This record gives sequence, structure tokens and C-alpha cells, in this order.
Amino acid sequence: MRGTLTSPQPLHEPTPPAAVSDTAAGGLVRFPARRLWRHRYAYLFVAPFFILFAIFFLYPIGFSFWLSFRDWSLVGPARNIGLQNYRDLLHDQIFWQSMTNAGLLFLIYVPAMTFLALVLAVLLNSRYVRLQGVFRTIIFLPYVMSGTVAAAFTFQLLLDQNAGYANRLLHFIGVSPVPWLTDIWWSRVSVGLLVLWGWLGYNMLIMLAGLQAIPPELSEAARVDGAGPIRIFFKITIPLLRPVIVFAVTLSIIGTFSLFTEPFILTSGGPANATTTPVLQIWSNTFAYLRVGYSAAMSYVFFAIIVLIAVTQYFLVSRRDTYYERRR
Amino acid sequence: MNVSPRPGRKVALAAAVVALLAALVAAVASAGQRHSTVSGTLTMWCTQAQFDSLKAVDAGFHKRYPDVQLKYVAFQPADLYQKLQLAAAAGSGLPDASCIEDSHLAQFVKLGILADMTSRVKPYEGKILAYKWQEGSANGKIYTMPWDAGPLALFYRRSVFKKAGINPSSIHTWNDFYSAGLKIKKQGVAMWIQSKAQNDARFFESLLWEQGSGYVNAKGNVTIDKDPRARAALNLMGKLWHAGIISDQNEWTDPWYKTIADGKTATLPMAVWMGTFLKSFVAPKTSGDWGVIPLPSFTANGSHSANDGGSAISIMKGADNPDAAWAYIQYHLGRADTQSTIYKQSDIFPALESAWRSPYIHQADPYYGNQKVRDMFVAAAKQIPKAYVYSSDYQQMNALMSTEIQKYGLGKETAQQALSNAAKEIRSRTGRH
Repeated sequence: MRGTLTSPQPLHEPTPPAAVSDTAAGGLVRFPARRLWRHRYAYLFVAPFFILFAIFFLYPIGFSFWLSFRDWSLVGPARNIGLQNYRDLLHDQIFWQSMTNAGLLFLIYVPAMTFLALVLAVLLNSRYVRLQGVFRTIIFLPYVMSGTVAAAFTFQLLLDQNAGYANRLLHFIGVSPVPWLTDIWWSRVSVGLLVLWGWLGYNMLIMLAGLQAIPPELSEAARVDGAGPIRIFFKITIPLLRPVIVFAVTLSIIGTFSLFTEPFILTSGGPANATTTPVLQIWSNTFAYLRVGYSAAMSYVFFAIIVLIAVTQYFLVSRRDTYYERRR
Repeated sequence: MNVSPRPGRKVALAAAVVALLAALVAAVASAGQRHSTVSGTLTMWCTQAQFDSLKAVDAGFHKRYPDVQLKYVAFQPADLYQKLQLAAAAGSGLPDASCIEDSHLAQFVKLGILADMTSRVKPYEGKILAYKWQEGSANGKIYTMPWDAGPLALFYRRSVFKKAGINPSSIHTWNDFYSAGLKIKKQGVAMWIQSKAQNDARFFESLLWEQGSGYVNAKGNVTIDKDPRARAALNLMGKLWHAGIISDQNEWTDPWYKTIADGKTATLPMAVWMGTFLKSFVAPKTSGDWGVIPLPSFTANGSHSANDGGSAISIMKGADNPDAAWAYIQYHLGRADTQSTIYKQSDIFPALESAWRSPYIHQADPYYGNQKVRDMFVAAAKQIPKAYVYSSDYQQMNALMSTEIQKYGLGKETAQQALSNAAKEIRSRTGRH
């Protein structure tokens, strides 16, 4: 990370070996200036990103780390309280429930969404389906609305226990009304449905891009060897698509733990905190309760846990990525 | 006759007249409009609904203070507080003055971003409902000018009561309310609407307030787990739920509005400001079918009133134009005529007691079948008990209590467990005793 930030490699000019030995020789002070000047235009063009990145990302990241050891209410001096915020966090049942909620939510909708996205992508990638562009657009369209307040409000109306269309439809086919938003488990399913609706198209698009990168010769060869389409799907397509699936699932992990608008509008994190998420808790503690240092500590613990989950997931799922290894 | 002009004398005469006029104007100005010395731009932050009602008297303000330009910036209620906090943290961008609800006031006083208004508001002490000063005061100083109060009463649907054969004036206590609810239930109508799974604890808080109780006591120590009044409040909710006379519906949603408009709830034990919502968009077509009686009490001679909501206007510390802000506050909130106009405009009930003497207060209201409901709310406002529902930690207390009420409503715990758990969480998170 540090390497890319401080000394990006030029794209077209290969670095002369002399420069490398310069660094090794300890010419750290003299060398960057010379190199900076030589690539001044390139640096000038990439500078805006790094300046904005520093102001709006690096500084807040560092500042919240500092804050996580302080007691601060946004205004006035911040009092140093050492590790107290982290100690309090260990006993904060609502925060740990929000982490559990996110985990449960992930299990409720991500496997279904990833599988559906994959199936849809394969269908839309096959030459037997007509009007592919139309279907792609229709499936992708909800993504434009995902995470918006309007979408969450619409779902709230649809899922209302007494007057919502979902239950009216169920009544029509003889199913008794479902407490979509008023039961601890159903409310999690409802949030999951809203997120699935919004993000299915996006995941399908990622899968579709992955599918199109798979050389058609492989499945042709398999077909010549006598493999049917289902066997090709499980033995050729899925293994080759593994890195893409890993990427989509990683994004879904981060997305699920960072959900905000959907539970905030649809269920207000309820009932009884069943759908509150870590980011909702961080928001409430910062802006409603003015416990800013505490929320900063929450953010860091939250960040560490997400990294841990994402990395574990990455190693678990992508370890047998032999095809791409060989191609490199 | 020589009529040739004599310029010298004419000019002298004209000059004398002008001088005389100028002196007169100055005298009049200094006598009648001493306040017109304030000038400049005044930036105010409020919610749209608050501005809509304040604007009702802006014309008079401009006449009196022609040199003050008003800059209104409207926010959603939740955004308003967040914007104030962020501007305060950034150290710039705060308005001159802002509307702040009583439920958020103590938090802002604690934050230290409100100007000390003690000497300015002192003359109004004794002229405004006493309880209204509580949240905006700390250590003997006052940081706000109270605006409206939210006295509760029982709105009831005349046709529903008639059909069930119940005389509304027979409802004195919550027990009477309960018995009436059982009769009304037979008509397929609920007595009132309270969400179990999304309960926001507001009704619970009103019931606490009615008994003169709250989350904390005068010292700020948490009491809900020990106070029998808190237990009575939650037990009442449970009793109403259990008997099925409260309909389970998320409040402030379209289905909730429809339940009210369709006459599927017989009553609304709510604050005076509900009137403006009923008339404007919730149930405008039901005009004439509503009535208002005092809030039922817990005991035969108990209180029949509570408060829900209410707001104030505070000048910010370091405001560019504090004098214009005070002129605005005095004109809009400190006068009987402007306050009664604002009440008429929007059912925002004046905490300024002289506004209650306006003839408008005693007029019949056709929406309530020509009942003189404003007299009722004045009577209710006078009886609002002193209570400690709001505080600098109210947002947190409300959220924690809501969660426990939800668990209680869903049958996951008993009323006593709900109160004990809420008290425990509030203590550990706010550091209160």
C-alpha cells in the first residue's frame, strides 16, 4: 500500500536500474525529488486523486483512530480515556447483536442472491435466450434504485402486515398473512429481500462479465468429450468463475455489514434490535447520542472484523485457483 | 405687486421645513420604534412545518423591523440537529438562531453551543408555562425561549362512540377507557393504535409524564425500574394489548393514516398538534366527527394531562446577529397576538399564557363538531405535571426503552423485566446512577 502511494511506477517508462540501486544506497532524500521532477506531469495528473484521498480518507481514518481513545461529544475538548471505549464495547450487547444480525442477514440473502445471479448470468450468456439486452436491463434496473429511501418506503408499503400487497397476494392464494416487519425473523427476511432485489442485477452483471472471459474452447472441448450442459456448468463454468464469485461474495460481505438505509427506513433496526446493523449503531452513537469517541472505537472493531471475515473467506474459497495460476 | 422670486428666502424656508420634519421623524422613530435599530440578515434554522407557522406573523415583523432580512433554512427534523452538531464541531456555519424541540434541548445545552439568554428571557418567567424552562436551563442560566407546549387530550370519534352507545364524558380513568374499549371492540373498531414491534415509547412516555414521573428523578438518577408509576404505565399498555383493544400498526405510515381516516380507531390519546395533521392530510374528510375530552387518569383524582413534544428557539453562541435574533424571538414567541395567530395557523400551542386570553381560543371549531376544543387544551396545559421524561440523554433513553417495550409487546419478557433491562442499559451507557 505504502509503495503505491509514495512511489507509483510510471506506466510507460521503465524504471532505470540505477534508480533502484540509488534507493538501496540510501539516497532517499535526493532521489524522490529528482524522480518527481522527471515525471512531474504524470504526478501532476494523478495528484488530485491523492490529495482528495488524503483529505477525505487518510485524515479521517487517522483521526478516528485517535478519537477511539477519547471521550468526545463533537464540540469542545476530547478527553483521553485510554482503552475505556474498547472495554465498554466488549460488553455492548446491542453492538454485538448488530454484528450477529449482519451475519444472519448475510446467510439469509447472499447464498440465494449469488446463486440466482449466477443462474441468470448463465442463461443470459447462452445463445438460446433471445432479447438478452432487454432482460439484462430489466434485471439490472433495480440496482439504480438500491439503497434509496424511496425503494425502502415502497417495500414498507408492500410488506405492511394488514394493508400491504404482499399479504393481499398471499391471501389470494390462500396463505395466512406474514408478519413481514413485525416478527424478529421475518423482519430480517424482509431486509434481505429488499437488498436482494436491489443488488441481484449488479451481481449478475459481474458474473456475466466473468462468464464472457471464459474461453469458449474449454466447453467446446468438454462437449466433444461427451459432457452435458449441466456437467459443463458444474465442472467447467463454476470452477473457472471461482475468482469472480469470490469477488462478488466479498463485496456482499462488506455490503451486508455496512447496510444502513434499508434497515433504517424499513424497520428502524427493529423489532427489538433484530435488524440493526453495525453502521446503524455507529450512526446513532455519533449523531443521536453524541458518543463520538465510542463510535470511532466501534468503527475500528467493525473494520477489523470485516477484514478478518473477508480474508478468511478469500483463502477458503480461492485456494484451488489452479487454472488462472497456470495461465500467469 | 412684485411677484419676482426671492430665492434666498425660499431656500431658507424650505430648509427650515425640512429640518423640522427631520426632527419630527427622528422623534417619532425614537419614541415608537426603538427596536428598529436592529438590522442585517438573520439566519434561522427550523423544520418546514415550524417555518410555515412562524411565517404567519412575518409581515408584522417586517413592518416593525424593516432593516432585518430573514433567511430561513428548512431541514427535516432529524437533519436539523445533525446539521447543528456538525456546524458546531466545524466551528463555523451555525445560524443565528434555531428551533430546537424540548426533547433535544438539554443535549444542546450540555453541548455548550447555545448563547446565554438569561437576562433577555427573565421578563418572561412567570408568563410562560413553568415546566417549559426545565430543558433549556442549566446551572441557573437559561439558554432558550420556550415556544410551544404539547398538552395531551383524548381525541375521539363521535360516530364510533354513538354506535357503541358510550357517552364520552363518562371516561374519566384508564379503567373507563379500557371498559369502553371492550364495547367498541365488538363493533370491529380498535380503541387506539400502538405498534408492538416498532413501538417508539412515546405513549409510554406520555403515561409517565401524566403521573409526574419520567426516566429519571430531579437529581438525574434513573428511576424507571423502581418507580411504581413506570410499572403502572407499561402494565396499562400490556393490558390494552392483551385485551386486543389496541390495534397493532406502525405509526406515521400510510396504513396508520388510513386506519384513522376510515374510523377504525375510536380515540387518539395524543397531543394538541395532532389536530393539524388530522385536518390537513390524515383525515380532512372526517371533519365534524371528532371530539376532544380530557386524557383519562390513572386514579380517580389523578392528573388528566401530560406533554408530548414542544419546542423552543435558541440563539447560538457567537451568533453574528444576536440582537436581530432576539427581536425576532420576542416578536414571534413573546407576544399574545402573534402567538395566538400562530396557534390558529397550525395548532402549535402557545406556552405563553397571555395568548390563551385571545378571543380565538374560545371559538367553536367545526372540525370538532363545533366544540370549543382550544379551551380544553388550555385547561390541559395548565395541569401538565412536572416530569423528567426529557434530559440530555433522552435520545438514548428513548431508543433503549423502545427496544424493551418491543420485546415486552412481542411477549419476550415481562413488564418488570423490560423496565429493569432498560434501566440497566441506560445506567451503563449514560453513566447515570
